[in-house]
Amino acid sequence: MQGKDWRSKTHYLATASRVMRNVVVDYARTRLSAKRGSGGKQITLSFAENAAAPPGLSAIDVIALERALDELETLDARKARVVELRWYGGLEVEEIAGVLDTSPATVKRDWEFSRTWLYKQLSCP
Amino acid sequence: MSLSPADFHQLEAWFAEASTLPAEKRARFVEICRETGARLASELEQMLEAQPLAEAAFLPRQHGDWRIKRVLGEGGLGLVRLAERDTPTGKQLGAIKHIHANFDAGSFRARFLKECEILKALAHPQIASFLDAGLDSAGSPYFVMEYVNGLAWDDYAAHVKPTVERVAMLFRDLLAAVAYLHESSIVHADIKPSNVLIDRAGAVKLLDFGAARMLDADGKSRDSTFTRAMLTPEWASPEQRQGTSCTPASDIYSLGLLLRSCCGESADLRAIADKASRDEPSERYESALAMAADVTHFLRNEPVGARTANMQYRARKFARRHRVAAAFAACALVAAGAAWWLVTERARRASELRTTLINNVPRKRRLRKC
Repeated sequence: MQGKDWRSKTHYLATASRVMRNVVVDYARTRLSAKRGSGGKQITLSFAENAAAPPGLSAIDVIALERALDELETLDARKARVVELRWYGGLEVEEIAGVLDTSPATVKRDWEFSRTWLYKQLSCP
Repeated sequence: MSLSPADFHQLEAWFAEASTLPAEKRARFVEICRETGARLASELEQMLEAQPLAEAAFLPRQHGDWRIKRVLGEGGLGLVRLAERDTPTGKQLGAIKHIHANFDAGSFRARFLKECEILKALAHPQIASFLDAGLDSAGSPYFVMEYVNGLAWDDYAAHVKPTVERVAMLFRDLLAAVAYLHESSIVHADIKPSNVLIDRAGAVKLLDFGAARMLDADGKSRDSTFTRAMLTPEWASPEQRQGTSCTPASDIYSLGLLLRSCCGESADLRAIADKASRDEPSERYESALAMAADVTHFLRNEPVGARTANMQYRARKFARRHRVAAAFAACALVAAGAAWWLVTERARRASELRTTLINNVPRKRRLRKC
């Protein structure tokens, strides 16, 4: 079923999710440095909602998330990639499995573990 | 705290295993892990605690036509979230229920699908209606029901402070919904304040059929052990807590507790609540309709069946019920008294006058005339 189209669409989304991640993080860093004079508040993803943040997450510190995601990358690169694709790219489990050439069950397990691990890193650093 | 890659993978393996366990067995699992490594076990413990919050924080955005907006609450098997979809006439809101990834297997999945099936079969103005269902991209099921924008029963009671009459009216509507359920051979099995909502228009809505069950032809329900694991002990009937049975009488019991929580000073409503929540199922109301009838008696100022009727109670009820008639009767009594007084008084005065007249007429003239 339109194998080529599907592949190019997921490839596009996979690339886009990396770009999106950079955009969101850069945006947060710019906001942070601009705000530094006036007390330096945390930049949460809701600030960047127009850019990428899916609804639901309202108070995750983008920069802290980026730091935790970097740490995750050194421990398990595939998991960090799953988060990037799922979170910043909005790809579905099936699509991520296609991009990473693994099973949907593995992606599901990776996603469940990673988001909990990241959340824990953010809430009790 | 940074972990070594080896520790990280150990943690991952533990987490995967703990995730498949029911909540009450996880603490024990953590204790076993602690014997291997105390620090890593603490990490695991923190992660298990953070799991539902993490799920809420990292929500996927779309299920079928539905866009997720925010979390509404956590059900027994997963999250309930507010979602919207586009329709030709504008946006439609719905409450989307999605099975938690950890539960998407075996009997839990069957349970979830059963809830969906039950909801789909029901149509009643006091029951949150079914809108849509589907599978997400990972194959996990979800369904969407009517979004009820309102207050839970206990919040409503605390903030709106309804009169006992208002409580009784809401309760009568709720009982109509429960009677409809029971007629459809369904026991809700988890009636509690957070599952009874009062919407903006002031209508009562029953929701969450996560614990509901179909009754067999003999009126008994199957798989009661499963219900026992899921029920809310505070609002459950003794037979549900013991796991012996779950019948319409169990719903009546929970309704009794619910009514007692906000019947105020009303001795009638309290009596109805007490009768509904007897420990012995056969001593409760035999049906939701019978309970509704007693609530209606209360609203009409008729004697409530749940109360042992003495003469004084019945007379008071009679007077309250026939307040207008009683007022008329009282007026009539006064008028009759006044009339009697007037008549007798006039008669007395007339006879007095006659006596006076007779006495004052000269005796001779009277004689002469004769």
